[in-house]
This record gives sequence, structure tokens and C-alpha cells, in this order.
Amino acid sequence: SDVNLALGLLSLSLSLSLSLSHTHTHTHSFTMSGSYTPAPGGPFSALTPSMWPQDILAKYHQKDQNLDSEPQYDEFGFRIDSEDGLEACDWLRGDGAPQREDPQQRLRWQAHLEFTHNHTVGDLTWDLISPALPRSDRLRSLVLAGIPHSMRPQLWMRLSGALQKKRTSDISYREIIKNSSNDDTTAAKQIEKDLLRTMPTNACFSTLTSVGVPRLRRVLRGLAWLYPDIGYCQGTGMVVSCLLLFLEEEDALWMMCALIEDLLPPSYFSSTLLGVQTDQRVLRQLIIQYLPRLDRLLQEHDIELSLITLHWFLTSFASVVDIRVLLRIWDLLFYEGSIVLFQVTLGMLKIK
Amino acid sequence: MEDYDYLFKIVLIGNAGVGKTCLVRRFTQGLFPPGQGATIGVDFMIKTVEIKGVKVKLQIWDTAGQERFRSITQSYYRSANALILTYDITCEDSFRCLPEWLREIEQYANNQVVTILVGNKIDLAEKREVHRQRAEEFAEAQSMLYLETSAKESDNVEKLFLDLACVLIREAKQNTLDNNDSAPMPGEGKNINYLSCCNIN
Repeated sequence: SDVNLALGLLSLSLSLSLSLSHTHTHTHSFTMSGSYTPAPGGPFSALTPSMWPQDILAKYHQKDQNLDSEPQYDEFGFRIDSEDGLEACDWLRGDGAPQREDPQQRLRWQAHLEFTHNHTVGDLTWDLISPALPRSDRLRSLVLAGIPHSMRPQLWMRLSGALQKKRTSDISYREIIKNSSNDDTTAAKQIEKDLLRTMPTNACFSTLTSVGVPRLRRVLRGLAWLYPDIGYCQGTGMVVSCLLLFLEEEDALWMMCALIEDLLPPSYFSSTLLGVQTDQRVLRQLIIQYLPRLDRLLQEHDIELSLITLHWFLTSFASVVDIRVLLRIWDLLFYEGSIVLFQVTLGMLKIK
Repeated sequence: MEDYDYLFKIVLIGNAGVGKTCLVRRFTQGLFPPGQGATIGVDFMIKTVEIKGVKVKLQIWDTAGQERFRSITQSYYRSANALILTYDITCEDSFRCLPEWLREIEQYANNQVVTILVGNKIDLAEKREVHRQRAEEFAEAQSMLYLETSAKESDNVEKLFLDLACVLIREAKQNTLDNNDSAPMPGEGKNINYLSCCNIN
């Protein structure tokens, strides 16, 4: 029981330090720095703080203003169109919803991080946690059970190898941005056309002055410069914009590097799209093996399945499933890589 | 027994961002979604229309405009009855790429295919970069039909698809005649005027 007590205390100290940067106790408050904070669980509350749309939060703050005529947003910043839309997604918004923190699950993660970093004395903070977490059955089962939302930015970076890349890169983010700032490249022009049609229903990406748009532009241009054989591939914008909701822009770029270089097969986004096209053939074979009834149905009606699934694989399900489901898929994707895309696809096809 | 007299496959092609998906959605669903996302690969929709009592099922294939998706979209040209080659009247680049698209058509489409050139976004008249006359001359030189549309304002969108359907019906009847002149089609003999049988607007 002494051990348990010690563990409990360590977890408590970990909990305090880990949650420091993610807990916002002020409700609708006007802080010293001149910024508004979302209400807990309210609109925009699941976003990384630098993405909070201050103009909209300011309107919420002015309570005398009639908010009925204003568009409603969910905790991720997506516009809620109607009451129907809300009800249809009830199961995603309840207590078990992916972005709700289960205190038990949070404790399990904290205990694991503590056990795997047992040399440290005193407070365990994120900067003391290694950039790459050793793979283990325990870690896998924790990822399977879900990453607490407030820990996602830090854990995604560590599970995917992105933090390792960020720390060991020869070139800094600042240099990448500087080198890719030319407006006149073909990639820059294509990116410009797609910025406002990437996530139009989200307050962070809906207009040219929205907080996420300059970030999306810089990250996409940075990627096009880093990977000349890829340039700009339509579809990557959806992945980057979803990452930007939860991560700072530099981290979003390194996450994309981890996806492109390590998590997905080669040539996924390149000008031939060879990798993602190959995966469609592999998927077709897996369906013959695992879903023979569906295979017969597809043959009978002469349906080319890749018409539907190419999109799913190219965007790693961003813009395909609800963001709450996407978060859970990405927890797995960043730990296990591309096999997760096949597993989720087969699972979805089996349900239907 | 399926409930239509004709089935035609129409494929939309053209540069990224010229409005192919918006034209399809306006015609099939009556919608103009602002901020329509880029098409990845190929998408398709179906709409059945009735023209002078003839039921025509249109299978409309919408393709990604970005060049890297071309190896995927090319395989859909072959069986197309009609191609809608789309450019954006406010974007000179999208017009200048047309010869490149014609080479694609030459290489991958069936030589019987009906091709119509469409200049979209005429609601943005003040931003026009390609004069109508220039496009008309280009289309004529390439023996293509030409139409200007606005998916946003719904201008000429119905006309585009219905005119195409008329041309395709006429050609299908002609083919039936050529192949089997002893079995005339019902309604055959009525002369359908080229591009004038359905004055919707």
C-alpha cells in the first residue's frame, strides 16, 4: 500500500504539472494578456489555445448582445447547422465521447509515463518525458483505449516520431518557412485556391482572416518545399487543417513529415500517387479474404471500390468521419501507421 | 426492367478549381455549396431527366482537376458518351490548359465522344479574363459545342446537361438507324433539332 500511495502522489504531481498548460479555469474571462477563454466544454474548448477565435469569443463575452442570430459552434469550432445535426450526433457528445476526459484513463496514462521515466525525482513535466516512447504492449493497449484529449498534442508528437524529427532536424521551422515564402510557385498558387475550401465550416478556416488560414498556407508551402517530388497534393490540406486544430503550426508540420516519411508507404502523395493507388489494390485483396460477401457484391454490380476509398486513404479519414471519430483513429494511426487505415476501412465496410 | 429509355455517361474534366463539382451539384441537387472541397480522385452522381417523353438517365462522373490524379481519372474517359471540358472564365491559366486537355481526350476517349466546352463562373463578370468570342472561336476550331455557365446563379446549368442529353439521344437514334434500319425506334422520324429541342430557360 506504500507503493500505491507513492504512486498516487507521483500521479498527483504529474497530473498537476502535465495539466498546467491545458487547464483553463476562467470562464468567459478577460485575462491580463487581453484574450478570451472558451467555457469548459463550450464552443472552441477542444482547440489548442492559440486557435481560439478571439473575435467570436469576444462576442460571447458581451452578454448583452443577442446571440440567437449568431452561428453556433461546437467545441472544435465547427458550425452547428441545426438542432437535427446536434441530435444525430448524440452518441458522439455524451460522457463517452472521444474528447471527454475519463479521469481513470488519464490516471492510467500518467502512471505509465511515470513508470517508464522512473529516474526522475520530483515533478515529471513534458520536457522530461522522452521524445520517443518505447513501444510496449502496455503502451499499445493505452493507445487502443484512447488518449486523453488534453494529452493528445504531446503524445501524438511522441508516438509518431514527429518530436524526434523536430529535435534532430538540420533545418529549423523558421528556415523552412523562409525558403518557401515565394508566392509565385505553382504549388503556392494551387494552395491559395484551396485554402478556403479545405475546412469551410470551421470558424478557424472559414475566411482569409481566420486564425488557421495563414498557418495552413505556411505549413502546406513548407511541405511543398521540403518534398519537391510531392509538391502540393490536394487532400493533404484536410489532414493539416485537422492537425492545426490541436497542435501549433510547427508541430503540425513535423507530424506531416512523420506521416509522409514513416507512417505511410512511400509515394503516397507524390505526383504518381503510386503508394495510395497500390494500397487500393491491397485493400481489394483484403476484402476477398476478409469480407467475401462484400467481394461478391462488388463484382456483381461491377463497382470500383477505390472510387470511394482512395479519398479515405489519401486524407487518413480527415473530412471523411466526424472529428470525434477521427481523433480516435488518429490515436492509433500515429502509433501503428498505415495498417490502421486498412483495419478501419474493413471495419467500416463490415458495418455497412 | 429499368425505368429509363437511355443511359448516358457524362464525364467532367478541366483544371482544379474551375467549378466542375459545383456544376454537378447544382444540376443534380440544386445546391451551390460555398467552399466546396477539392475532389479527390473521382465522384459520381445520377439524375434521370425526361425530354419530350423520353426518360434519360444521366450518369455524371466528376473528376479531380489536379494533374496528379489524371492517371486515375483517365480510365473513366473511355466509356464516356460525352465530356464536359470546363474552364473558369476568370482564370486565363485554366483556358490555356485546354489544348493539353484535348490531347488527353484524343488519347483516352472514344472517338465518338461528344465534347462540350464550358466557361464557368460568369457571375464573376467583372473578373473575366477570357473573352467569350475567343472561347467560341477556339471551340469552333476544335468542333466542340460551347456554353457559358454560372453554377452559383444557376445560369445555363440545366441547359448544359439537357442539351447534351438531346445531342446524345439524337446520336443514339442515328446509330440505331445505321445498324438496324428495319426496326425504327418509337418516336423516330421526328426531327430533333441540334441543340434546340429543349429550351429550358
